[in-house]
Amino acid sequence: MIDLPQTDRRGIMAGFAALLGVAALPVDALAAPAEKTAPFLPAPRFALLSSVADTMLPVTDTPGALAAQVPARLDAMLKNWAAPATRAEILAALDRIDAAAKAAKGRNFAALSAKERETVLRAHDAAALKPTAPLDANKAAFLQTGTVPTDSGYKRLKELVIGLYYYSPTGSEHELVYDHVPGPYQASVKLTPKSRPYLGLGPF
Amino acid sequence: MFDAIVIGSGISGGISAKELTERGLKVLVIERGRKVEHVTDYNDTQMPWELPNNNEVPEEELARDYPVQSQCYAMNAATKQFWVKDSDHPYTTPEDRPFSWIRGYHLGGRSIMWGRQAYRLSPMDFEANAKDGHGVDWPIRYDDLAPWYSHVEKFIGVAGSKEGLPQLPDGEFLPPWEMNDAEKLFKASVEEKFSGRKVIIGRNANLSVAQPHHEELGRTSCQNRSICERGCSFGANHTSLSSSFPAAERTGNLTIVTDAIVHSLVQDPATGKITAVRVIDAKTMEGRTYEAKLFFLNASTIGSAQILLNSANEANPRGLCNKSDQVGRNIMDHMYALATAGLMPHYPADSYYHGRRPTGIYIPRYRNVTEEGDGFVRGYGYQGAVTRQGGKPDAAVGIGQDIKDRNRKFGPWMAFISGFGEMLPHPENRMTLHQSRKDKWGIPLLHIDVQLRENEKKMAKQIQSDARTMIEAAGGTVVYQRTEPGPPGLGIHEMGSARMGRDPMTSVFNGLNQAHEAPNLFCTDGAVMTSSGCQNPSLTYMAMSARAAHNAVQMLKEGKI
Repeated sequence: MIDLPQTDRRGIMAGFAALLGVAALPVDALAAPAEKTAPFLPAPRFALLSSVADTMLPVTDTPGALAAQVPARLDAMLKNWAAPATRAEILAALDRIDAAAKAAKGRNFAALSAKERETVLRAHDAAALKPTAPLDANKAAFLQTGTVPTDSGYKRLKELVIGLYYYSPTGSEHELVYDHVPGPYQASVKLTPKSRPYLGLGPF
Repeated sequence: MFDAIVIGSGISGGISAKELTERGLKVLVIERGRKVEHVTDYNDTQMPWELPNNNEVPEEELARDYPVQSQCYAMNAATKQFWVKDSDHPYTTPEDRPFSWIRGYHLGGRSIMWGRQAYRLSPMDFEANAKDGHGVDWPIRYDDLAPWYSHVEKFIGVAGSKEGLPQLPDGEFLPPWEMNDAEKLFKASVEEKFSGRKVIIGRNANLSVAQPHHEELGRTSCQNRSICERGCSFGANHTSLSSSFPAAERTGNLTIVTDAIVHSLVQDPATGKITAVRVIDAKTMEGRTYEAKLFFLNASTIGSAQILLNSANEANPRGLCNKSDQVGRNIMDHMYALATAGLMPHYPADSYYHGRRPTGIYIPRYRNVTEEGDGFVRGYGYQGAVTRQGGKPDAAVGIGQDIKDRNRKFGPWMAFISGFGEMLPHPENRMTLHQSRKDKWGIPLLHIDVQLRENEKKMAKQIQSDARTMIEAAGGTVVYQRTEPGPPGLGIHEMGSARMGRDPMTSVFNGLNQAHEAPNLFCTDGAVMTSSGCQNPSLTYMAMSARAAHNAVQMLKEGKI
């Protein structure tokens, strides 16, 4: 076994650029561009989305969803990627979180303190993801395991928030490294307590 | 006039063009799709967050334009440019028998997105039809093709390990990729508990170590990115664009025309020779013809048969070279998506790997080799891997620090293996020209009617029962298993629509890949496959292309065609 290498992603990308003889590969783009356009969602919904993303992935010892611009990127996906049914499913899931806040605390989710939001979302999360049935492998995505949740719209929302966080310059810098050009394959790497998985790609 | 015309620029057309130009022929390659530039047209430098919509294709666009192509694992925003719009290229099937025709119309064809698994057929594969009576006998044997497998392997670069298995002949390999620690344990368990079964590293057309003749073409060693299907700017995987066309271009003998849809072939009724290719310009809809002395059909299994069927004339009302009535019949694929996965809790918790290895593990066929099949003939192999869980954002129960903590940790090892089962040639698994509907270029649509039959259904059951048994024997707990194969076509190994054979009354091409009814017409794509084996077939198409080009040029020089 060999030790887990320290990966210098910027160095690797620069090396990739040099190898290809290309001057302007996306080394500078490692920092995500700021969203300049106005949100697709109306302001109250965007605030709700932002507060949910911030509660799912707050600032801890590492930056959170807001630093990774998850709300703006998810807002753009709702506009540019989601079909009407998906958009409705995700917005309904957001609304149910808001309704849970009103029921528990008498105010909109976005108006709650960080601690209140955490309390509300933690309870909502556990109920929404409670399994109802095993996944049918013949209908599930390839190699997807797990169960059918109570609230599939919430699961979809959560997967998007988390996916956009980790697949971001912020997530890759502070949580799981995405190594675009790994170089030679190392078949056996000794883990240490500080080791973390590399961010994967694709179904395999 | 050109010396030769190659119809299609994919994995077999690329090798045909290379071999013909290297033998001094002036060659025209006709591609129905658009031009793609190696490197500059690829999306392989983008980081995940630079791809639109987190690398997802907008859902409405996907449903409207790509309902079939989106079934392929490799279809995403970064690769969208390489898949046909189903809405522009319709075909029909019986309502209850879907066929997933996965394809890309552009220079290089599916060679850009192929899975790169490169296996030889074996002597038993070439003898199978003769032995069990399905289909017709292959007109060639393994020994006819063996030197051409070697020739192609050296050129394209195939990484692999020599295993000495009769059902999976060794080749001219680059150094193999290495199994990770868990895969080595899985291999040891399976091989210890099931005599005759082997777990080997997958053989793949990625340059584990680029050789000087690869570097001469601008290719470099693989960087273990596993985004090969976006097109590889390192040229580390073999494609027509990275490899075959650069070799052909340096001869000075290659001409390529894109956006040219082959409508039909023109045959001289007196000599039987093909004299020209009728083409429709994809953009202007104008027709034109190209003439040559020699013609190679490399338009893909379904595309090549479509051209023959659409070349019908008064003397050949069923289509060209179709006195046997076998054009369009005997379509096979490999049974696909029969995957099983299990958690391996006893595998080493302190071990990991670095890099996205562009191949997995492979379990060569053993049914009806060292162990009998349960009521079926032929057999299957498995592709898979044992990977460490982690590194895929996990949205399980919990919020805040829980999410971050969980995703920082490594999960257990998971083994998955997915069976690739041989389909038998059956004359009623066929494609025909639609009686009334035409595409936007006026070419009749195809009607494709292919189904899995009794032998395949029995085989599928044992594929899955064996998979479960092997994972459990290796100490795993199965957590995922499909019971139904994917629809035919989804294996993207469609074959057999204009088979080779000895008898002109029962086959379309002879043992030299030469049409029985047109001496200067050769076909070296999947259409000519007389049976399918269970191995990924592209290497065989390439070996046949090189062999047929060699023989065709010889015949041309000797004035025989």
